[in-house]
Amino acid sequence: VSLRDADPDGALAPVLVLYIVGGSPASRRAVGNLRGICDELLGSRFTFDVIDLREFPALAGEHNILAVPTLIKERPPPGVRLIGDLSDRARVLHALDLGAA
Amino acid sequence: MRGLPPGAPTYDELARGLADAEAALEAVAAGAVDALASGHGADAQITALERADSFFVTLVTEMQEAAASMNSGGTVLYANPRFAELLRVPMSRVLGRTLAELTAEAGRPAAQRLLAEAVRGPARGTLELLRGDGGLVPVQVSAAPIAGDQPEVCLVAADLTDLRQAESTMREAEERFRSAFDQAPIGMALLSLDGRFERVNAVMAAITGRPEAQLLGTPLASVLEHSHATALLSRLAGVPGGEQDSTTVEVCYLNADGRGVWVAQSATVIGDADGRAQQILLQVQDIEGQRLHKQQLERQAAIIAFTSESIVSVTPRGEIETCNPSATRLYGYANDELAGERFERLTAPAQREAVAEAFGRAVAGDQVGPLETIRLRKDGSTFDASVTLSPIRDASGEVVRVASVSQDISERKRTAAELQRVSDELARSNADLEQFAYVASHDLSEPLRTVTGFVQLLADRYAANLDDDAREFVAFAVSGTQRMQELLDGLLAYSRAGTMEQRLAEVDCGRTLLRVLSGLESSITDSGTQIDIGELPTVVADPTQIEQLFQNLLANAVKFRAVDGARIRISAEEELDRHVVSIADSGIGIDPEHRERIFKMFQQLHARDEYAGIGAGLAICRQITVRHGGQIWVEETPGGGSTFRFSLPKRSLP
Repeated sequence: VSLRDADPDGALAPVLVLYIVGGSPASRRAVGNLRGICDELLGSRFTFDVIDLREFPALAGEHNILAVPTLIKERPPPGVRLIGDLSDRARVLHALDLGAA
Repeated sequence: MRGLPPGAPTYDELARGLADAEAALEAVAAGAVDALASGHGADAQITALERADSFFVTLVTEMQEAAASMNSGGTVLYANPRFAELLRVPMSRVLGRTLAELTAEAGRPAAQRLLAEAVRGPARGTLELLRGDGGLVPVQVSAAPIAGDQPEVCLVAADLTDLRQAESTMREAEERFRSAFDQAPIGMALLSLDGRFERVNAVMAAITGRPEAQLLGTPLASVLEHSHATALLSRLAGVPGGEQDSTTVEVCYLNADGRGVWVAQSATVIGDADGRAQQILLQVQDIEGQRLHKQQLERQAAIIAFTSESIVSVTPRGEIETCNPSATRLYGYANDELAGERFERLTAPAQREAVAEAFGRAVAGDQVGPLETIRLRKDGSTFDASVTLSPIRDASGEVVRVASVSQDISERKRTAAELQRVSDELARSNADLEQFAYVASHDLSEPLRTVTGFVQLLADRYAANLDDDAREFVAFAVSGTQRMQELLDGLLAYSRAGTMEQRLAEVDCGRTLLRVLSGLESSITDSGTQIDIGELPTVVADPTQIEQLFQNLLANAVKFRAVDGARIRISAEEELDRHVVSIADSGIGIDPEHRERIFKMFQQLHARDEYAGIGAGLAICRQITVRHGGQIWVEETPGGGSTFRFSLPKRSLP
């Protein structure tokens, strides 16, 4: 099941989580870039969660996060993680298996 | 391939870890990383790469206002905790959302405009943000662009909820005031501090007799008596706002038609938040009706206080509530001593049952009395009283009090008893007298007849033996005895008229009159008297006495004619409860001063040699009419002469 075909309200709702440290420049860019990609390719039917690791630092260990920001696609499989501010658009599309628009 | 020791990462894990580390290094080199994470689980640590940035982050995190940064598309790139709190959602639901998504639908265009403006320069506005629970948060927003390779907007939002609430509370308060003002059943007006009408309600317009439009802007003094207006304004000058002018004064408004309307007026100075006087609120109640009512009550109270009747107000349970001064005097109590006492205390023990029964009827709604009863004073003495018990009802018709009005009638009763005694005595002595008159006249007749007989014999048989003087003396004696005989006969007739038992029958006055006239025929014919007879009634009376009545009156009329050829007219009139018979002659008439005297026994107006008689006839007539329950009197006949009239009551045979 590709992310593009996932049912955002279904039992296997896609899980896309961006880990950041709030307010930092790369994190701000990452949020803006991710939102831009989602809007453009997935439409408004799709959302992601943004977690500020300053608020929940333990999550960094739990998810083996090395650097912030990190985007993790948990569902649908395969799991994918992307480190950085997501400004390399082509790479992001490739990693998320969305292909070019 | 050798196996790995237990607990060690698998090959895949190691490979992924290496790939991650490589990606991380690459990202750090590209400047796409803010921080590094180290350690495992709860011990994980986040190490920011740019130290300088953390100062601002801390500042923004700790500030009281909600703050966020967003890109030109409105996507929230960062928000401080206060921002998430304001929207009542976790931070994860704020970051990455757009301003439009966080704004109420109706406010989205405004949010877009604000954002577009803020990209170019500082912008302000109000927005309503959408809370996680569906509610709305009004906010005052300040936004400004942040310079950088990617344009960003920094936005600070202040919660207006409290302010809005305060505004709406104020609006409601004002609305309530307006409605209270307009709907108030009393007159209300707002005045400027110099005393001009700025707002009036309908009742106020009615009191002044002018339409609202005409009142606005005019000075108070144009509708209120001038001295009252100046007094009010000078009293309120200098009073700080919010203070009630505690005195309610009665003042007179002048209606449009010049009529005065008395009102009770109070005033309040309305101030602003700092207590500075702004306006004057007048509250005015028409007391014209109250004044009239009060005057009426005062008059009634005065009547109750000064009436000689004793008035006691009693509750339906039989307790005395109040009483007037006459009552305290009458019952011998001090001023307020009776209040709260049982009503029975005012009644003699023997009468209590009867009074209680009457009281019960009054409570049930009947007016009871006047009933005669025996009342009890405080000192135990009693007196006769006439008592009336009247129910007093309230507006719903229920009996709430019983008014007991009593009068001391012991004096009246004593007087009545005394009168009865005197009248009884008089009747007895009259009866004695009449008995005496009868006995006297009857018993004296016998010896008189003897004297008369012998004197007559003397005159008849011995006249020749007497000289002239003796004959003259005998003649006087004869005449004297005759006269005496007549007097005795008259007295006897009179006493008979008063004492004889009456035999009542229907008497046709016309026939009776004819019989009497035939007896008098010769003297009527001789004197040439002309008789006119009108229609006469049939009455219930003693026939003999009625005949005697006509006999005496007609004989008198013939006797006292002035000249021969006189006229006598007999007629009758029927009145409501009696017949009045008139015998009018054209005779010599009677002086007004004698008109009473002629009906007394043996009273004569004329010398005996002029008109014969002993003065008994009219006295007998009066005796007869009085015994029949009628009257007799004399009037002057128009054109000269006397008219005797007697009345006989209408009655039927028993």
